Amino acid sequence: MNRAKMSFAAVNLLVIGLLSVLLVNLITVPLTYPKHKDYTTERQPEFAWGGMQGEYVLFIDDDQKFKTPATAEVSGNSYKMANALDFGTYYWKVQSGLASSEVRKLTIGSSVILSRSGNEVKNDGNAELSIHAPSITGAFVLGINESVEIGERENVTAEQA
Amino acid sequence: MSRQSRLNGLALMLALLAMFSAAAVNAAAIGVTPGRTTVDFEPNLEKSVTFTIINNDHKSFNAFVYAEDELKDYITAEKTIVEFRETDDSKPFTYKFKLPEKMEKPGDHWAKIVVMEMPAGASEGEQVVMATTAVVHQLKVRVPYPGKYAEFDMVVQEAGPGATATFFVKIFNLGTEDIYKAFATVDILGPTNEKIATLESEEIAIESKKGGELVIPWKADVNPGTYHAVATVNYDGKVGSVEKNFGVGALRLELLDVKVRNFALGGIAKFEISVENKWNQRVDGVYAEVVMSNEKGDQVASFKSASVDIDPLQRSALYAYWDTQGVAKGTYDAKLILHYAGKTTEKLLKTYVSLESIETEIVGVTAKVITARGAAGPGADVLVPLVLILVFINVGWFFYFRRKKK
Repeated sequence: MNRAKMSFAAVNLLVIGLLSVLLVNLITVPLTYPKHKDYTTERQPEFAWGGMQGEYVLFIDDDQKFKTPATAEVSGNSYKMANALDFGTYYWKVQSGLASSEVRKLTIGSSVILSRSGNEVKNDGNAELSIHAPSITGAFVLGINESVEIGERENVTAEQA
Repeated sequence: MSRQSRLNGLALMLALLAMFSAAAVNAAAIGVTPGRTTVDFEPNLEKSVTFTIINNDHKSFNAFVYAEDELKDYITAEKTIVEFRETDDSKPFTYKFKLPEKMEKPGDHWAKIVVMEMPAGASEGEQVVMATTAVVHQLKVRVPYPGKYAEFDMVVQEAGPGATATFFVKIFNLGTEDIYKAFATVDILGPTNEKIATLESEEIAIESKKGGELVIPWKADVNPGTYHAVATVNYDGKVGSVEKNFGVGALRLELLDVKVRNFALGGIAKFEISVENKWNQRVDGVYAEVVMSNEKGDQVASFKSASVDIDPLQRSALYAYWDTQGVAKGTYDAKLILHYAGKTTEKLLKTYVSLESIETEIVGVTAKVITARGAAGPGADVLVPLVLILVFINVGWFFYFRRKKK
């Protein structure tokens, strides 16, 4: 009898524990990516989360307290930014009804990448570049994915515009 | 720089060598991220900054790193050469800076950390004949302006027609004094600069060296198109402005109708394709392409219209001609492709060809919307049945004990 009662109590405890996990699971939106404190050079990052299929609101702000967030209403579990974000640090979270996620931090950094092949240099980064070369006079700005011809024997330097 | 004089010497040597460079076939790709680090001036501020040098082409080379520009003398680094192999994606580079006690001139002050690609094996002191490729990591030091001074930026969260677009007006207080009251008025202008709406923001206060943001929503009850926003910011009696273009909806042409008049089989069929420009600006160079296939799916003809320019929010007809000599009566599938503004829109047409007429029917968009079903929360699919099983076990036990008591 005592053994049966102990089993009864143990199962009850297990049920309470599992119900608690279920409750937490139901009121929390688990975030998938980007990871907390990620650094990326992707200016239109994709945000993803788990949870039941449904309607979610994604909040993004450069303020940790979400004073002035940009929001996106999403049917599904991921959202790719439609517009390029400025360089900087952002905080993001997801809500669905009463359920809410943790707050994650994401830094979007500029990348200054210059590729050179023969007499052509190309901006392979994610920011507009100021190009300095002897044949280029004045301020010359090279857009993302744009290229320009310079002399094969010229020195060239690129920096964020 | 602890090694600054040595670095400057080396930089000068490289520059001289480059001036006399004889022949060098260049294939290079070098990068840094981030491209800029910004700090606010504080007397004697000391900091370490790490940036990443990117080996974009995965090749062996040496990156020669040195500082230049106004603040170069405040920069120190442990090393000046970073070696890369083909297997290296990137490597971190750390430098330190120590700012002076005072910087008199307000505004932005710069140091440039130049990362120059050198051939693998080349090292300091070695004479190299080459044309150099270099990228720069910038250190920007902001010295506050005396009194009240602010700079602005505006980001627009775009929306479709009828939805709410949001203007985020960012205010950076770069003055030595706090701003007690800042607000913005946003004027929205149409394609001919006519004022469509004027929006007012709330008021905020911004501490010195801090940033603030004004959020201004706007219900975009306008046609799709490009619009212009001018934000006039007022902060403690001073005024500045920032402006930006933004879009409402997407540039889109709509296929309205396809007609063929006065047709006789064996002759030339004149397809009149009616199209409406839903955008608030003129779309140039619009043309249609029709690809006809028989019931087996074999392509039997392909023809294009001449191109036309369509004014904003106007309808226009495109004319395409099909020589039906040798074409049999019957039903054909036609793919109508509209080409405009560097993109295409496709529609399917059912085309019924008889002796004296061609009837067309727009089948519609063939794209299927596939909704990926999201995974349930972690373990939710297992947890729910497990809890139910345990609840049933408990209920069973409950009745078992009750019966046992009796």
